[in-house]
Amino acid sequence: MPKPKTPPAGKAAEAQKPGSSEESRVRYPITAAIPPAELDAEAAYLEDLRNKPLVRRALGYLRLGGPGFMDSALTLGAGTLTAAMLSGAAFGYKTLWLLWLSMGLGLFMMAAMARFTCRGGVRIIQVQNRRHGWVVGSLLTALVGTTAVAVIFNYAQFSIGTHLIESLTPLLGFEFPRHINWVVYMALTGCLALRYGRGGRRGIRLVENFMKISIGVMLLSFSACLILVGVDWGAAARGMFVPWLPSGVKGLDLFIASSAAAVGVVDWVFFHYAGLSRGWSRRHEGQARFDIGAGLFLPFILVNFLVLAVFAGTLHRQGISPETAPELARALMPLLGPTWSQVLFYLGFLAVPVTTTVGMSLAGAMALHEAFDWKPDTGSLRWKICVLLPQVGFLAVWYPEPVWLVIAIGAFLSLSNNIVGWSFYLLFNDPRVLGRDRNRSRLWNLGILLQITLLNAIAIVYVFNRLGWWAP
Amino acid sequence: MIDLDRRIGPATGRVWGLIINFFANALAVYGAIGVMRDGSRRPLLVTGILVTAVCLILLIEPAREPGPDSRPPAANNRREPPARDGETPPPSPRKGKPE
Repeated sequence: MPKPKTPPAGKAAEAQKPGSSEESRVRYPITAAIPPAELDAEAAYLEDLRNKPLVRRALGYLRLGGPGFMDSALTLGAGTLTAAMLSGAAFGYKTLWLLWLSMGLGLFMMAAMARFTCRGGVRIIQVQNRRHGWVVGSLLTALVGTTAVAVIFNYAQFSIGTHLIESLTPLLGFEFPRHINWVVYMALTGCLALRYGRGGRRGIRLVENFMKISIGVMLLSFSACLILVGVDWGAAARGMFVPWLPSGVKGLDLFIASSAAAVGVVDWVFFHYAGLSRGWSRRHEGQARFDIGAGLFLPFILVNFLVLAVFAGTLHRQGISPETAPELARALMPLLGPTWSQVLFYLGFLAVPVTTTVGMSLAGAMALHEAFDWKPDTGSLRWKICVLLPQVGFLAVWYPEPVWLVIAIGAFLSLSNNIVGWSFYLLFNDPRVLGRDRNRSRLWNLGILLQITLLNAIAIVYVFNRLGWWAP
Repeated sequence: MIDLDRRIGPATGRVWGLIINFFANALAVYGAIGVMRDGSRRPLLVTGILVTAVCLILLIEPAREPGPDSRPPAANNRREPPARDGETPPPSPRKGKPE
């Protein structure tokens, strides 16, 4: 980062000044390790950037970006990529439009989280506990919506990650079976997650940069595969802009699941607390919005597009549609041609579960600390245990996911995600929380409410399923 | 326009709006299943969509600017005399309680 000018003392103080809201700005403990002078320098640099031409401003924001990329790396997990592969193999390019619709709707809530972080400076789960009760804040948002998701859904990341290493290594000339390679997977993801917040800003930047580079690897490797496979641009453009769904209840099911699943409670919470960890203040809101657009929206759309298009151009054309991610990847390999392209695909795909595991470890630890009002001290044993909790997913190498637990968590999630959405909508419109900075835009509220309506639909479909009223 | 932040019974208008919206969504989904399966339940689908639309139109309204003669939102359902011009509105005794 170029050396910024020293900010005027008044401006630096203003950034830390409590807002007009009743909830006072508190410094998140992870930020406490960052010297205030560094935060001031960054705020001054951002101030300076505001007067620069668009390209230079974007480059500056890109360099400072982080939480959006971390969120994108978290969202782009085994489940999302498997869904993209399945959609590509089964329906070709026809469901591309669901990508930008689902992520586009999610942006309104993400922008609200940026407002809570930058202008409120509040720890949102604590505010929920005070305003809406412990059940909504600590239980539904922190424990069920974030920590349980991080622990349970990390099984799938371990399962795919170790499968990919096992499939990749023979192409490099050696065997590395999954019952051994899980140690490498765990060491890499565990060490990275534990580095977060250590050594002040250095530890945070290390993890953020790893996430950015991994997203770059995904983009490059999948792009190379797509160049080999080729794109039917006409069909892709139609798929991107002409809505299409399979007929009947199956189509409704696909629409609801895809639209609401792109961004959820874990993403909202992680973005908010990752921003707080960076010491984001009022002057970072522009940066935060850019981060949502360039760090979350674009990578999500591009990576999903690339994967979906690769499978649309290969398996869909051949009429092959396997049902699991490893089968899909294996079926794709002969169609990719040269070995280097297969290695590239596996490398890009491997970055997906690795980054998700790191993100989930951090999100789970942050949420667990908030649920019990523990101080998040990244040097403490408690923090380390919380960060390493999702690593229990290594059991996926020998055992499938504990089905009863997945069903229980899935049920809780389906029925509670919308309640958390309601809670954030209410807080966003509550003058006692954000004061003058509360929402004043009807369009913003509409975006949030549309996402809430989709989350409601998920809960409703879940109940209807139990009652036997929902038959695809 | 309705003051969404006025308390009606145990919750504010905004919370009631979210609850009604949820039931309207359920009605719309239930109706949609029937329409897609055998063309039945069309009135339920239409009613669900209409009520959802009304709820969304009402709920998109941001919180009102607290004027000098308005009380804090949490106290709006109590029979306290309105604050006079230039007076600080009385603090809400329910402040901080769950909605």
